[in-house]
Amino acid sequence: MTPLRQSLVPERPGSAPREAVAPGLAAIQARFLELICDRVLVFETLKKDLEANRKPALALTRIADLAHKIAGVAATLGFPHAGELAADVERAVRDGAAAGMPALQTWERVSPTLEQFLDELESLLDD
Amino acid sequence: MKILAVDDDPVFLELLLRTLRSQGHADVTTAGSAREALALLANAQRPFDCLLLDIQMPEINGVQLCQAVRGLEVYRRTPIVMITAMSGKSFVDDAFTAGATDYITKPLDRLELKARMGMVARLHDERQRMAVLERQTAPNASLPEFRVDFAAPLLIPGVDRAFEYLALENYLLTLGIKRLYSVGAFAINIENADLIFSKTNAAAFVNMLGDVATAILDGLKTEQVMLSYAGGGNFVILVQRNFSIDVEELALMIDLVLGDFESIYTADRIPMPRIRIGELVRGSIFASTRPTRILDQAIETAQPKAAGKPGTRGLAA
Repeated sequence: MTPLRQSLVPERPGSAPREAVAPGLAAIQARFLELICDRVLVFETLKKDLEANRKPALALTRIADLAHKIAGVAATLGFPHAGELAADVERAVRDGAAAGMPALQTWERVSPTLEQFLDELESLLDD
Repeated sequence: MKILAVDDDPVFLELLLRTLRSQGHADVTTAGSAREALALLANAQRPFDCLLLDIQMPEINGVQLCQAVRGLEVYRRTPIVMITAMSGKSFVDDAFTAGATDYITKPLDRLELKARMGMVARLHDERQRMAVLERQTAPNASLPEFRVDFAAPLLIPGVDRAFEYLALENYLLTLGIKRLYSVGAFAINIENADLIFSKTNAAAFVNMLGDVATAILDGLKTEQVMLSYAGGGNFVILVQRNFSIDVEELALMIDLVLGDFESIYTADRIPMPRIRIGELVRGSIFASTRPTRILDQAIETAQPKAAGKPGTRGLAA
C-alpha cells in the first residue's frame, strides 16, 4: 500500500475564498454551506453556554464533534483553510480533555481559535 | 462489490458516495448511524462485501461498530476500512484491534480511496477463495480443487485472533515511521513446514497452521498481540514495544499445546510441526526504510540456515 495524497482540490494554505470544485461537487458544496449556516448558530449557542459556565464539558465536546464534521469535508469541498481551523479547534479540545484539563481552562485556550474559525465560516457564507 | 458506508455526517456520506461511484462502485448503501448500519446488515439479503466506517459517531462509535460486525459470523472476514479525521495511535490501535482491515484519514483523498478500494477488491477475492477453503476443510467435505501457495500469506480459518497479513502491513503503514517505535515484532518459523506441505494436502496443511497459531496464542498468555501467517511456514507476531519474550518458556508452552494433537498427526502420518522462535525486532524512529521492514527483519531472524520454498500444490496430491 503506497500512501497517496492528492486532494480533490489543490491546497492553498491560509486562503479564505472559495475554491473551484468539480461540477459534480457543486451540489454537495451548496448543502455543506446550508449546514454551515445552522452550525454557526450552534457554535454561538455553545459559546454562550461556556461563557455562562453551563455544562462546559458537554459544550466543549459538542464543539469538538461539530468541528470534526467540518474538518472531514471542508478541504475536499474547496475550503481548505476552514478545514484546517476546524481541525485545530477539535485537536485543542481533545488535547485538553486528554490532559485532564478543567473544561473552562480548555475553553480559554480554544476560544481564540474558535473565534478565528467562526470568522472563516462567516466569510464563506458572505461570498 | 456491495459496499456499506457509515458516517453520521450527511455531507461526508454524499461526498463518499459520489467519489466511490466515480470510481466504478455503483452498489453503495449509506447509513447515518451504527444502529442503522447494524439493521441494514441484519436485513441484507446478500451480505455486503466491504464496510467503510467513520470512527467518531454518537452512541455507538465506529470502533464499537467494527467489533459488533466482526461478531457476526458472515462478516468475520469482510474488509472493513475505518475512515476518520483522527489519526492518533490509540485510535489506530483500537480500530485494528477491533478487526479493521485498513484505515484512511479525512479529508477524503480520491487517489488514496481508489488505492485502498483496489486493495479491498483484492482482499474480497482472497476471502471468497478462503470461504471455499473453509467449506473444504470442514468434516466430510468433498474433494476440493483448492490450492495453497506455500510462500503466500494466508488468513488462518477458525482462529479468531489471527489477522490478515495485509492488515498487519496496513497497521504499520498507518503508524508510519514516527510512531513505529511503539511496536515490536517477532516471528515463529515452522522449521519443517515445507516437509509437512509436501506430505499432506492443502486442507491438512491449513489445519496444521491453525494448530500452531492456536498454540502460539495460548503460549503468549496475552491478548495484546497481533498474529498473522506470512507464508513459507512463518508466523509474525506484532507486540507492544515493552513486550519481552522468554523464548524457552514460549517454546515449551507451544510444544505442550501441540502435544495434544500428536496422536492425530501420527494417525494421519503427518510430521509434527517443529517451531523456531526468532528475535524480537523493535521499530525505530531512525529507520529510513518502510515501516513494514520490521516484519521482514523479524522473519529473517527466525529462519533456519538453509530454508527451501517449494511451489504451489493442490489438495488432491
